[in-house]
Amino acid sequence: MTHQPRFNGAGWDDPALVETVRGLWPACDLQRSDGAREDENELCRWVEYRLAGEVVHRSVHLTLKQTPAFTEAAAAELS
Amino acid sequence: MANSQAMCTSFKAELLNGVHAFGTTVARGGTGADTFKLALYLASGSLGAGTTAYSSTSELAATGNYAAGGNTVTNGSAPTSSGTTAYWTPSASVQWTSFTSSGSFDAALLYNSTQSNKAVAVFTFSAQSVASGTFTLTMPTNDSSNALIRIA
Repeated sequence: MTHQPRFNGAGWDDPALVETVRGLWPACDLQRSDGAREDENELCRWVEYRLAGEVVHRSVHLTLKQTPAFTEAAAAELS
Repeated sequence: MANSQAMCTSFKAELLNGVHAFGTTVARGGTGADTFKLALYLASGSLGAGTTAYSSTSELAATGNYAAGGNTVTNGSAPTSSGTTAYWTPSASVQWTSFTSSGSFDAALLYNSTQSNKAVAVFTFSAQSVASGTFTLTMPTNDSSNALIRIA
């Protein structure tokens, strides 16, 4: 049984108990928020749980979209 | 038809497969694929083109399921080429579960743990933090335009 929220491709699942920096905690006692940020290089999705304003759990699912290629021009600079 | 100057595409893919050795320092002792790992680095680090090998300097501290040196990447797809680009991408996401990052991190170093931890590439992303959580790094599409490692 995992107490880590998992990203299922569409959104984060919502476990009843969440692993936090203070140990396992009932999700119903925590303030949950999630979000996403996307640019040309990445798609970042995150979920956060707060207890009295303190972030006690944060998970991130980050998809790399584009990375630099090693080009012949770059190879020429090395010679 | 006319001759055209080019680096042969087959050569690019063969570089990724370790076929050619221009120097005399060949360290390869077997024919199997090497083991490659990804390690995560604090945003305060200074990794880049000058990085030559894995180092624990500015790496995330080992907490929970984040261990020094990072995680092994799944290598289920051999390098290939399309058009004039040779490319390779790990065949699965890399995931660290149940850990708290020791600070904001924004880079991952891909390195060859079989060949003396020699560096391959540094990948940067928006600064992240994890608290008793999971960090999953999903790979780009394995094609000539998007693959993680591309020789164009």
